[in-house]
Order: sequence, then C-alpha cells, then structure tokens
Amino acid sequence: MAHLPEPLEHPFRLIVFDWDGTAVESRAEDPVRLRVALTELLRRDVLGVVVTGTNFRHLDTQLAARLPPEVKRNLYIATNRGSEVYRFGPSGQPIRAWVRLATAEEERLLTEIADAVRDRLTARPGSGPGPTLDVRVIYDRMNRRKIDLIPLPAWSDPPKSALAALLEAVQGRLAAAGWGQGLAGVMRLTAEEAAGRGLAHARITSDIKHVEVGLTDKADAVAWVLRELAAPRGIAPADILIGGDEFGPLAGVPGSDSRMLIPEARGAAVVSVGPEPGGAPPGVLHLGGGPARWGEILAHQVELHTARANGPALDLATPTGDPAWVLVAEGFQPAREHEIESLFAMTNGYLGVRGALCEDCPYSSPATFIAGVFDRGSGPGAVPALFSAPSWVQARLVIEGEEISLARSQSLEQRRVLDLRQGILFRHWRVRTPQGRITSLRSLQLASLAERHVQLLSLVFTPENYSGTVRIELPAGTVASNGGAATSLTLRTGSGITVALAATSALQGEGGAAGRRFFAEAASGSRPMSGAPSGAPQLAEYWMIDAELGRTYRLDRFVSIYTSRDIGEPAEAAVAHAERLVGLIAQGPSGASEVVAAHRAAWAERWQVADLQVEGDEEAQRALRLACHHLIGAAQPEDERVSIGARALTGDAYLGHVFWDTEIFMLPFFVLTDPAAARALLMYRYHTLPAARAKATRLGYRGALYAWESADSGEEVTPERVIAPDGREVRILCGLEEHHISADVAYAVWRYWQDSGDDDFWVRAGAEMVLETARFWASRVVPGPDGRYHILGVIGPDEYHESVDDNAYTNVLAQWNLERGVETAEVLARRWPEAWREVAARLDLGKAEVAAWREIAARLYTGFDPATGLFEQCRGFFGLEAGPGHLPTGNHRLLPIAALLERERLQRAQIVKQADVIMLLQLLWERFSPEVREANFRYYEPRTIHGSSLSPPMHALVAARLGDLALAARYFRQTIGIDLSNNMGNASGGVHAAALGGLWQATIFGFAGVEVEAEGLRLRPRLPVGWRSVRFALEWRRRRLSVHVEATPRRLALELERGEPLLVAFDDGAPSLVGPGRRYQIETDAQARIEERSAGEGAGGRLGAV
Amino acid sequence: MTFFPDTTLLVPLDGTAAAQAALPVAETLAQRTGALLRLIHVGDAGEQVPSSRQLCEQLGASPGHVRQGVIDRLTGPPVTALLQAAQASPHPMIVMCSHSALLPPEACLGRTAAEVIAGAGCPIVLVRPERGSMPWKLERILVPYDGTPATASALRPAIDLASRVSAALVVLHIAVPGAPGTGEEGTFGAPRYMDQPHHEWPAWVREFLSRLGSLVGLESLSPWLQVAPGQPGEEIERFAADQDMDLIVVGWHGCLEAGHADILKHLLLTAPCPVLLSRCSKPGPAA
Repeated sequence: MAHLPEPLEHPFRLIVFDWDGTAVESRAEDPVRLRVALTELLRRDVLGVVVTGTNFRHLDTQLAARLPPEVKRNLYIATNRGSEVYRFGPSGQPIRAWVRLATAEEERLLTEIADAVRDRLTARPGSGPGPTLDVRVIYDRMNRRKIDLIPLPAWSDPPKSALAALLEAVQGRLAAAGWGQGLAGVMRLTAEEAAGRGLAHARITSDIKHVEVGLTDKADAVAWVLRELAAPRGIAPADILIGGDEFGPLAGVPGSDSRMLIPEARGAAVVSVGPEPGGAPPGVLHLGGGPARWGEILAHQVELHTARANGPALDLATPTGDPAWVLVAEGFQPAREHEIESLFAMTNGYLGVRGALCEDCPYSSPATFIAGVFDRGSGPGAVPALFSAPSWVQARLVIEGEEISLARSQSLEQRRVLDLRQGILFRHWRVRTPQGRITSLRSLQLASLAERHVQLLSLVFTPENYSGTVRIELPAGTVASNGGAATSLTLRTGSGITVALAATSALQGEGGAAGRRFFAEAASGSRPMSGAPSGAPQLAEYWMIDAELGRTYRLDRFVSIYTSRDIGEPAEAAVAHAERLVGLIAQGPSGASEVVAAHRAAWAERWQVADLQVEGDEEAQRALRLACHHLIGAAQPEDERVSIGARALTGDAYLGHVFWDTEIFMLPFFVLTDPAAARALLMYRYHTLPAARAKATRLGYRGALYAWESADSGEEVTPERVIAPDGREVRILCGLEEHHISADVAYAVWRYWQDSGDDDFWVRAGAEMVLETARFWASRVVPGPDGRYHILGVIGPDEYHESVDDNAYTNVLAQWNLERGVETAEVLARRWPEAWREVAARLDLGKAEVAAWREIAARLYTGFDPATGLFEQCRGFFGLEAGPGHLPTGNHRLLPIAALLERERLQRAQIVKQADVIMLLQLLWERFSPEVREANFRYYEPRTIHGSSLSPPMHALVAARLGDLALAARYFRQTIGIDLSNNMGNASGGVHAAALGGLWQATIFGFAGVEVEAEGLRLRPRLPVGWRSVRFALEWRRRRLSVHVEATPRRLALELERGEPLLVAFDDGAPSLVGPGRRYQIETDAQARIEERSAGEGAGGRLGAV
Repeated sequence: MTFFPDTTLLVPLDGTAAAQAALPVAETLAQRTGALLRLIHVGDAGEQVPSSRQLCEQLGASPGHVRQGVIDRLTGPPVTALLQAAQASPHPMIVMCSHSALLPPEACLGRTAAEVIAGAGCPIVLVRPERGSMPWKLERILVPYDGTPATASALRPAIDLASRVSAALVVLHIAVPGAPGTGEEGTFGAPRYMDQPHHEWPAWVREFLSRLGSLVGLESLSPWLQVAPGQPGEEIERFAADQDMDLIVVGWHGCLEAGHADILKHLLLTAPCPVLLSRCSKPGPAA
C-alpha cells in the first residue's frame, strides 16, 4: 500500500463517500476489496454513508445486498442526489430513513425548466447556419430532471475513466451548435430558467453528459448526515472523512462532489481520488488513484481501528486491513491443517517454521527447518533429508487446571491471518473451557527478516468472564547454569551438524508485570509439548499469573537458532542472542516492538521492489502476493552455500532437495527483484561444482554434471526406488539420466550475468560454471552415422519418457550451452585476460577444446524439421501411439499416478508430463521464429497432461506471449490453484516454490510482456480479460524501473527510480532512453495519437515524458 | 457407532432361505464383538404365537443362535416393527439379506431392504442371499474412501469393528480420470500433480491417512492404503474379489433414487462379500 498522508492516519468515526468513480469504476464491478474493508469498518461501529446521484437499487445490488446483515446497522445510503436516505433494519432489510418529496407544483416547474432549456438549446442561437443540437430531457427522476447533452449510443453510459473524452465531445457538440460558452453556459441558462419560474433554490448540477435541475443535491445528504447521525452521537467534524472524485471544477462547472463541502462539515478530512484536471479546491487532499486508492484508504482505516480496539499498549502489531495483502483461514478444518501450516509458514531464508497452532493440537505437524541443514538418512537407499527441528514458538494455557485446547474447549471464534505485507502470522481465538471460562487470545508469530536467527511468538490474552490462576507452559531445554534467562536445546544431526535453540520469555500485564516464571518437570499426566526434548525428565518453562477478569496480558517468547554451519559455538550464540532480545523488554515496554519494527521494515524494503499490483483481479492479486511472499522468505543473500528446496522452508516434502526448479522457475524473480539473493543461489552451484565434476567423472564424462537432486554437498541424492501404489518397486532414473540440469544451471548463470551486470560474479564463478558445463556436453555427445552429434539415453523435462535419445530440450540447451562456452572463453580472454589465463590453466582448457565446442554445437542434432517447424520431443516421438485420444479437452483426463502405475503405456504414447519443447520455446524465445513458436505450442499443448506443478505456469507464460490470452488465463488460474485450492491438499508438504516462481514469470514475462534485450528492456503488454492494470518494479543492471501497464486504453507508464538511463521499447517500436526523475507514458490504442507521436518510428509507440 | 458391549445385532428373518443368509454373518459378528444377537420375526397380530423353539425351527435358526442372544416375535408392518426395535436398542446394527425374491431389472435391493435402509439411522449389513449358509469370517475389512470429510464421517463403524476384532483395515481410494472435484473443503483426492513420484507418492500416502485419521480417528490401527485408477464401483468389486475381502464398508447419503448412490447400487449387486452401510454426515462449515 502506498504511504498515505498524515491527515489519514486518524481512525475516523464517520466516513461519507461518493460511489461512481470513487468507490467503483463501473456499475458492473464487484468491489470485493472495498466491500471487505467496509464490512470490517462497519463491524467496528464506524458509520459508513454512501452519497450518490443514482437510485437505491443500484447501490443495493452492487454493495448493500452483499454485506453481512449484522453490519448494515451502521450503513446509510443517500440516493437520488440527496433526496432520500436509506438505513437497514436488524435483519438487513432496507428502510427509508428520510425522503424529500416534491409537491405537484415543484414537479411541474422542474419539467418546465428542463423543457425550456432543451428548447433553447435545440434552437440555434442567433438563428445562424449550422447544425442544431439534439438534446433529450429525462423526466423519470426523483425530484429532478436531467437534460442529456449527448444522447448518442456511444455515450449512453460513459465510464468515469472516459471523462476527459466525454467533456471534449460535449463541448464540441455545443460549440458546433453555436453554444460557445459550452457546459458552463448551459448551467447558467438552466439557472436563469429556474429563477425565472420562481424556483430560485433549484440545484443545478452536471456530470458532463447531463445538466440536472433538481430540488436537492449532495449538500442535502451531508446536512442530513451531520444533523441525524453525527450530532446525536457526538461525532465532531474532525472524526469525519469525506471522499469523492470530483471536487474541483471541470470546464468551469463545479465538481459534483464539491456539494458535499457544506459549512457545517468544516474541519472534516476531505479526500479526492479523482483525476481533478482542474485542480482540487483548497482544503481537499488530492490523492488521485481512483477506486483502488479509496479501497486503500478504507483498508488503512481498518488497521487504525483494529489497532485502537486492541490497545496498542500490548499488541505488537495488527493485521493489514487490505484483503489483498492477507490470506485468511476462518474456523478450523482438521483435514486442511497440514496445508494451512505450509501456506502460513513463517520463513526468512535462514529458517522456516510451519504455521502450526501454537498450543500444539493433535492435527498439527509443527517443525522448524534450517536452510542447508540436512540429516543423513538411515537404511538402504536412504538419502539426506532436510533436518526437522522442533518448533519452540509454542505455548499452552491452563486456566484453573483446565487446558485450553481445540479438542477439549469450544472455539467461539477462530481466525488466522497470514499478513503477507508484514510477514506475520496472526491468530484470534475466543475459546470457552468446559467449565465455561472464556478467554480471548491474540497471537502473532514471525521469523524475523531483519535478524534471521530469531523467531517470536507474542501471545496476548484476556480473561473475559473469570479471574483465576493461569499457567502458561512453554517447551524448555536446559536452563543455563549461569542463572541466565534463557533455556536451550542442542541437537546433533546425523550428518554431524550441531543445531542449537535458545528461548527466553517475558510476561507483562496491563499496568505492569504480573507473573512468576519457573522451570519444572512437566506436570504429571500432561501431554508433552511437541517441542520438548525427548527423554525423561520432560522439562517445561512455566509462567503463573493471577489473572484478573477483563485485564490483558502479553507473553513474548523469543527463540534464536544457530548451527555449527554458522558459528563455532552455536549454543552460546543462541543463548546470548535470546538473552539480548529479552533484555530489550526489560529496558521498557517497547522493547519487543523494536524486534517487530525491524522485521516489518525489512519486509517493507523487500516489497518496495517485489510487490506486484494487479487491478481488476483480486484472486490473482492475492496469489501473486502470496507467491512473492514465499519466494522472499525462501532466499538468503548472506549464505551462498544454500539453495532453495522444492518446497522451500515450508514443509518436509521433497526432503529439502534442490532441483532445476530454483534456476529455471524461481531465479528470474530474484534476478529482477533481489540480485544479491540470485547471486547467492548461483554461488551455491559454484560451491557444489566439485560434486558436479565428480558425478560427470563417475558416469564417464568430463566437466560438470550437476545433481538432479542436490542437498548440502551437491552430490546426487535422488532416491533410486519408490514403492508404487500397487506395491511394485519402481526404479527412479532421474539421477542417472536427467542431464539437462547442467544446461539449466548454465542458462541461469548466463541470464544473471546479463541482467545484473555483476562482472565480479562472472569472473569469479559464473564463467567457470559455463565452461565446465559446456565441457560436459562436449563429452556427452556421440557422433552418429548421419554426421551429426547426438545425446543418447536421457530424460528430458517430460519424465514420462525415460532413456530417450535426442530429447529436444536437452539437445538445444546443450547446443546453447556449448555456444556460450565458446563465447565465455572469448569474452574472458578479451576483457579479463588474467582471469582467463588462470581458469584455462586450472581447467586445462585450451583453444582446440573450445574450438571443438563450436563444431559440436553446430552439428548437434536438435530434432527440428524445417518443413513442419516442429521439434520432435525425442527420437521416435512422432511415431508413438497418439495420446490425444485420451485427452479430448487437451489434458486432465489422465491421472498423474499413471507415472507409477502405467509407465510402459506412457512411454509408448505421445502423452507429455509437462512443458518440454514448450519450455524450450520460453527459455530461448528469440532463437525461434513466430511460426515455429506457434507450431510447437499448438502441437504439444494438447498432448500435455500437466502431471507436474511446473507445467501450468509455463503454459500460461507461453500462451500469453503468443497472444492466446484466454488459454493463458486458464493456465494462470490452474497455477493459482496448485497451492490455494482448498480441496486438493497439494500444499500439505510445503508450498510449490517453483510454481510460485512460475506464476510471477507468467505475469511479468507473459502478461506484462517484459523482454530482456542486449541493451535494454522491451515491453509487449497483453493483459488478460478483467485486469485493468498491473504495476511492478524491476532491478536491471543496477537500475530500478517502475512499470505501470494499463489495459484500456492500452498505456504504459515508466519511472526510472534508480541508476543510469536505460533503453526501453514498446511493442515493436524503436527503443527510447528513459532517464531518472521523470515519468514516461505511452498510449497505443488511440491510433491518431500514436501516429502523431511516433512518426517515422515504426509500428510501436514512442515514449514521451510527461 | 461404536461397538459397545451392549451393541445389538438385529437380524430380521422370515423363514425363507434367502433371509437365513444373514445368519452366518450375524453369528460371526456377535461372536467376535460380543454384541447381543437378536433374531426378529414379524408376524400377524391374529395368528397363533409359536413357541420359541418352533419359531427357531421356522426361521432356520439353531439353538446355538439363541444361546448368543434372543429371538423375538414382533407384530405389525415388518419394516416399521424392525425400525422401532432398532430405535429401542441402545447401539443397534441391522444384519439382513438384501433381497429374497428375484430382483426386478434396475433394482439392487428387495423392497423390504430398501425401506429398511431408507428408514434406519444405524449401520446395516446387507448380505446377498447367494451367500447361503456358508460360515463367514471377519479378517479383512475394505473401506473405499473418496477423500471427502463427509465420507470419512461414515467410516467410524469400520474403524471400531477393525479395532475390536483385530481385522486388517484396507483403505481403497479409486482415482477417477477426469472426475470433477467434489468442491467439499478438506477433500483430499488422488494427487493432481506428481512432479517427482518418488517424493510425492510416499508423501501423499502419509497425508491421505493422516487426514483420514484427523477426521475419523484411526487410533492404533495401521490401515493399508491402496489406490487404483478406474470407475469406483467396478474397481471396488474387483479389488474385494482379488484380495478376498470379508466386508466392504460404504458410506452413503441416504438416497437411492436415480442418479444417486451409483457406487453403492453397483456393489449391492456385485460385491463378493457383505456390505456394511453407514450414513455420512452432511458436509458443513469448518468448526
């Protein structure tokens, strides 16, 4: 959310706002975001008043009918330009609270006035030559008549966004008909006619299309609100917020919302979110931004009211009010608990804690994962697995001997909120024990992004209907012998790494400290905490409080984690860190707030670049923020010896193993939003080069063959067998045959170097990886009788076809890798000759070998048929049984478990697991002609069953780049559902980090159409139906560029926030230089304007500074 | 339903050989669980009341059956009398044959059995008359489970029964290609994605059983999970036959009208062993 000015940092008690243009873009819109925020405000007893010119039915359909009945008691709708006000009864039914009824005489006069104005307008002034004006009067309006100045079908219902064009059209019509004074003249004419007929107090207004004469306007509505709502409740103007979009004049006519600025409202905060081309009047805070901004303002009001209600003295933070920033789990569904724990996991790149319920319910799987810490498996065929440490952000409450638990207590309210913006997991739980004691609990959990070794659990609770002894039980380890505040637990993994947890806690109550802390053996018969060390005796940390009814208490639990990967004495470091944190609290009540503030600041800084704002698609907006949130939490720029596992640090599925997912699916997000993190991830591959060399040697090749599955050392850790659903043992060949991983790594290295300009990385590490992988491919190919080189016995991305020859993806990427190997040698020799000499000597790499790479690349078989434009996915693929017979709708008909049950059948058929050739199109897009891209996508897409979560996002991306937006949107939705569908359970073992990265790529490279060129960026935006705009920032070669793409009119706005000027091109146009400090804008749908601006510049538009 | 010591097995008998097919099943259930066996005959109010021994002989029951329980003669409409008797029992389970006469085309149950299952809220074991008087064992219980919380709610009798008699519990999930999702929150079906089967398959099995456990409580049981692709009715039938299952426990929603309960109807006609019907609770909002 953009920063809001200080006057809006006040929690207003009464909010009055215009509807069209302020709250919604159009009458067809479902304003979900506004509705959610308004509901929360009404629930908090804020009065909401909509003031609109339209009738009640429109507002009821678009807003009131969709609100929960119980909150509507605080909602009022003033309709028909101040002629009536509606309130709502106990069951949500509308009741007219006030109405201004015209007398028969007034009705007659209104009609006379309108008719007279029409007659004067249609009679050309001065009876001169020229067209006459077609003007219509609309009679069936309450207390008013509307004179339609432009009754043309094209302007029957103009959106607010077309206001400027509408004004131009109306003024043009009036001028052409001889009414040179335009709209302002018509307003004056109407006032004259009204005064002449004795209706001196008639209200003359205009929405540009119409001039209206009536008995009331928005001033009457606001006057009623102040008189009937504010005054009886003692609401001062300072507690009132008025929002609109048209306060300033337009063509000399006062804005319709200016009528709300009556003298009695002086002192209220007034905000305009409209464009205000004539400027906003004094005292009106002009923010612009339209309904999206108004939604932000209301969401921020929710935060302010929540903070006030909770009492800022104890709660360390409150959830963001904007629903597009939060993921909410209402109630409790045992079956979904594991996936909720994954989705709500708190991760910071160093550690990840599953979002389990803090009291450790039987349905939970709490765990803490630490990046790079693996446990050696035991037993035959066992492979290393991400070490699972206990979760210590746990606390259990026992009230007068009654334990609060989901199993034994009654949940009155339960709500968990993952706050994506703040990186905090909130929970509100109102719970009643069997004996009837009701407790309100609010908790927050975080894994600090500012201090990555730190976790915090803050538990705020209030006894609602009792006073009594409350015992808080926390998992404990060893109490420090020096009498310090911390308790610690030291664990040792099977691979010999020491993991140390230390915890401290502090309790405070409203008005001062209120508890006693001690350690003891866990109470006899009580359940051990899952985070307690195994073995007797079970030690627990206790807080005992004599809690008083209605008083609020807060327990803060700090946990710090260090391992022997980080430091020589991890236990001492963990204890010292935890004690320093609890010491902050001893210094004052704001101590813990510092930890939260630093964490929030770190997230805010990260979101500065990573946020991706989508207007018009709430589901996509939230999914993209969730994707970015988990990607941010997956990486750690400070540690270049770890990478990101398939499920990041959110779950134990895939054992924490690292795949090509990181380099191909996730890395682009980091390259373009956090280059330091991208560099660290690639350095992991550099540090695992020895293992990659060893694997190549073991299989009889040279150079570097990376592990298909990699853990801490980079050795191959792919399991070799699995027991299939039918009990058969199935051999897994990926670790032996899926060799494209080496080219994938080289591709990522090259892209990072190109996009970051990080020459230091390139010279120190990147070049060597490209050289070593190129060397591998040169040793991997075999010459064939056809005079070409071939790669035999591999598995491509489509893992349904094992041990195939000449997989197109593998071969073309190998070819590319060899070419880049040659280029690397040349660039190094030319620009960094010393580095070239050093690396060439160390690798024993001579000119002849490099020359051979060029030769091999040129003669490498790719499976491309120039006649059809198709790549054959692998040798013989076109001759396999037709798969599409099973796939009448293109996919979905087969089951992914067929990969285990029907391997032989799949091997024989043209059934593709996931994007393979299509993946190749995306990675090397510029290498293929448009016809080749189209032909291959249309051939392979219907044959792909998307058995992998990596597949839908790549199909969304490529379909978008090809302009098939409907298909792209379908795959985009499918990608969203991978983790967010509530009836699939896919996320139980952790989120699908690669699919999240793919979702981001589909948006940036697909819909926003970002293409990285040699000397700059090109954008070919093509937003899917429903998306009004998308806004994002990119880091590129030490520059930061903010981009705003709008759908209608198709428009692009750019701002270089940091760095040297760069070249940016739009569609097929020539690049323009974008410099700092100015905003650039281009439109392409308004053809006349393009031609005017882009003379001599080709088909695309030129960027113009504005 | 839990197998309490006072569970009552109600066995309606009308003297036909078809009805007697329920006796071996009920007898084994009573022996293995300790439940009370209650043989029920519904006669006309005006007819002469036979002695218990005569009634036993008429109904095809042996004195041994009566040693495990009681024999009752009720009057009134047979279905009503049986349902009232079930209602009056603390923990009832009905064991009866699925039909006695030849079934008309399209029917999967006799009229009496159809009325009983429509009206009874308790679990019902249906035995096909072709089983005859062969002894019945209870060692392997098959639980087809579609992964929905609603169906899980009906599986309690299977869990209780398997626990009580130490039978093997086999959970069978049929993965239906192209089937639309149920939309029920918390449903966990065959994996939509399986990026790397050697990781995802074991993880899916763990999660599937974990969810079932969280919904219905598996206690100390370690069910054997099997997954098969295909059409549910045929696959359950095939699996039960291949694996020599003794009982199939099926959750149902209480409606046998056209378009409903197709899997159950299929199994009632083809299952190679008795079928225990248990009602699902309606899916509701999360607690």
